[in-house]
Amino acid sequence: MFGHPALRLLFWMKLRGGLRLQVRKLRRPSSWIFLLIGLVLAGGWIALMIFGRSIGAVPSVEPSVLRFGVEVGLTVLVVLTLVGAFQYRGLYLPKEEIELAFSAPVDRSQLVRYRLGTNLFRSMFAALLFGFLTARRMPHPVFAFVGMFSMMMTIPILGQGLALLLGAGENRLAKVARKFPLRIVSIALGALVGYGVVLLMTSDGERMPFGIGDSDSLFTQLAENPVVRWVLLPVSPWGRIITARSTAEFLPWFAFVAGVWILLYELVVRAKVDYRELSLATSAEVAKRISQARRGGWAANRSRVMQPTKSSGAPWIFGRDGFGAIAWLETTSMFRRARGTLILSFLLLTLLAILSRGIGSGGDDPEAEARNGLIAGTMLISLLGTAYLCAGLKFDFRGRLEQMDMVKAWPLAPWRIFLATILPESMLVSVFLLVTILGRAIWAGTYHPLLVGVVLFQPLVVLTWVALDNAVFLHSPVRYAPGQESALQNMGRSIVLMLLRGLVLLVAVAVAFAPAAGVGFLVRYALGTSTTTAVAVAGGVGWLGLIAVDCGLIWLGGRMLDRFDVARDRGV
Amino acid sequence: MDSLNSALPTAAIGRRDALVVEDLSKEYENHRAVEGLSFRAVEGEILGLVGPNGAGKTTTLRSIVGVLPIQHGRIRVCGHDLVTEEVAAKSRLAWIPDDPQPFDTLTVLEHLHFHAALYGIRDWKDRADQLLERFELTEKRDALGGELSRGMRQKLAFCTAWIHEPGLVLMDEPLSGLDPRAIRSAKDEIRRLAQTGTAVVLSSHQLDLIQELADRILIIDRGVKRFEGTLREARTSLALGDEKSLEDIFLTATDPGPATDRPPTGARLE
Repeated sequence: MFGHPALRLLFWMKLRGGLRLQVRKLRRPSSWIFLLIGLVLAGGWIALMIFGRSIGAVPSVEPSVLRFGVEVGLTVLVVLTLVGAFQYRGLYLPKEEIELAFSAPVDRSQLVRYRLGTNLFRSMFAALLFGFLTARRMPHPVFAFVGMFSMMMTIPILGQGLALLLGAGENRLAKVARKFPLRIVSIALGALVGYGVVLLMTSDGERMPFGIGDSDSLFTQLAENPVVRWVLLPVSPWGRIITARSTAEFLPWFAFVAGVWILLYELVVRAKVDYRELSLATSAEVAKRISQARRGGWAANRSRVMQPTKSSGAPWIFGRDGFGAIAWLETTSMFRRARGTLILSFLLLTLLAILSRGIGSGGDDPEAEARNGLIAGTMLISLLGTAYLCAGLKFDFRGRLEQMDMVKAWPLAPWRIFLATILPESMLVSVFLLVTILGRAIWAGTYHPLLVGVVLFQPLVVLTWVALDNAVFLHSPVRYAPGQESALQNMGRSIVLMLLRGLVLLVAVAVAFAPAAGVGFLVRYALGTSTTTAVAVAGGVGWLGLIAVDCGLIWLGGRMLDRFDVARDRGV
Repeated sequence: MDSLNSALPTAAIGRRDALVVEDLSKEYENHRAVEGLSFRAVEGEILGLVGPNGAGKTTTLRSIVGVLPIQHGRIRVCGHDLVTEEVAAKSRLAWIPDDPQPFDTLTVLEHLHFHAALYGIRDWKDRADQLLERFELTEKRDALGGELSRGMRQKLAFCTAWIHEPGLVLMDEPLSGLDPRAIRSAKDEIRRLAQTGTAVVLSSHQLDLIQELADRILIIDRGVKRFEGTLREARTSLALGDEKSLEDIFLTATDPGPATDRPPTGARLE
């Protein structure tokens, strides 16, 4: 399975080494705690996937419709894998293996065997998971498990076959393939798979959700369409195994797919393709992506830099001293990297504004409904927009991990470096949200004094959010990346940090607004003023309180930056 | 083949070829990295490969070790054709890239075990111990690849390259990242390896290192051979005095001024 004996040895040594590394990382009690939390989370998720709401529920639909649904799911999985193969053109080998593997006295087909063996070993876990997930919901659990398992073990071979084919014909196919909008196709198909999993998990055994299985549903009509049947034909044998109800139905098709597996495996292994050049390019690309993910995370701060032009330079709006220079650096980075993200964000916010326009319509009192709609819509845009934009941009310390040596050497007080780094992003997010919120209000033709409050509070709320995110990140930089070691520990640690962040946010809000509530109460009931006056005074106190909280967070961020250890905190 | 012999020092004539490169060309999507390159190295010889950045040195080395496919030309390693007898050719060579990447999860000793298996060496343990001793890695034998410093990674690369007693070793900037003691030790090891009959092709920007170690030099620029021969021959060809160093020879041979108008030559500069 793993080809040359040395490659087999390498596989087992790497497996043993990975386990050894995990054990070495468990020296501190905190690592055990994080691992435990990660295990509970991962275990819970897997249990939810397998058992869902319906333990042992079999959808009560016609066998042909059931098989059709299964085959659609399998086809999507196959297409998704084949699309993924475009990202791993040639024979993907990690950067630490590729030079050695290609210069070693090993036949190239042995390298393909080794890679396929590794891929199949990895796929086995997903195959088991999908197998169990399917087994609980099909007429015969064993047949369903075997069918799904064999499909999942065939897909990697198909993917590798296509990846190698892309290297044939002097890479001409690979060049053409680059022009396809693969990311969009992947996202759409990924959404379909997710939808399928939700369907499987939410089916109650009595009736499939969304009318699937009803005789007049679009799903049923599609199942009978001859063109669709032809499209699904390649996965039909696996569909038949998964939905088999008797051994007589199962066995012939199982023999068939076992034969297909062996044939496909041998064909791929013996393919006469010189994949070296394409594989080197793929390995370098993947190494770069992994390195970026480990250092900078997945956000706009890692998008491709556009070519600088006169118009792409950012203004020095925060002064020309050290503080202004740092802020300018972040602003320029956003201008040159985040245009696509900003355009997408603008479209999403516009969509959110349009959707939130519907809130509060249709009531008896149009004025009250419009006011309530304005408040609800504003809150929705403010909260969702803050969370989405701050997570999507990350033009702050979360994108500067690889340059922390340099950052630490800057001749400014840590709190000033911290503020200068987070200020441009906070301002940009605030401007985006305020434009959306005010634009929505103008479009709806509704005014409410709340809007004044939003204009005053929104920038502070964003600053609080970003400052807290960055302070926590500087305290404990954790990121997910493909192939990351200690993924379970990191998952556990992330959850703990998220809870910590929520706690700090709650305390900050309490510190800012508890005095405001007290002052408002006093003004309203001790001094006997109107509610409007009391709310305005309380708002003013709350605003000052939030400024005080932000000052505290900036100080805290400065402290975290000061204690950040570039030798230790590497983000993985 | 005979024309290449003229580029060999007298002492080398009669020794068997460890590497023969004939008319090697390599083209990437948008440029030609190597063009019509021919040279050879014989058993026990250290050939210094020098050239400016982007000259095609690494492309040449990666083609010789089989990492890059050969587009045009022919390469023979210890008598084996790299295309038709690929596995046999590769089993006689060792490759030390400019930034060796050990496996993060394997210990130093496991790296040697794996390499021994890769090249079919059965009794590898004694040899591994000797190599670890010689390269001062004995204390690090249980350290993981991911824990090694740049210099340690380089030393490990030497050990893994040495373990199967290759007929040809190709090195790209082999001494970068090493401390002065390790540099001295590595230079001694390279000499010792050559004395045992192994041919070494050494690519480096450290011209003093090449001058100190190499029996002959090969200068390439923009994928084309500018000179192949001994230092003395280079001085004669370029009409430079005996006191001139490799640096002077290099700068003259790769001068982007009028010298670039000169047509590329076969074995030596005219």
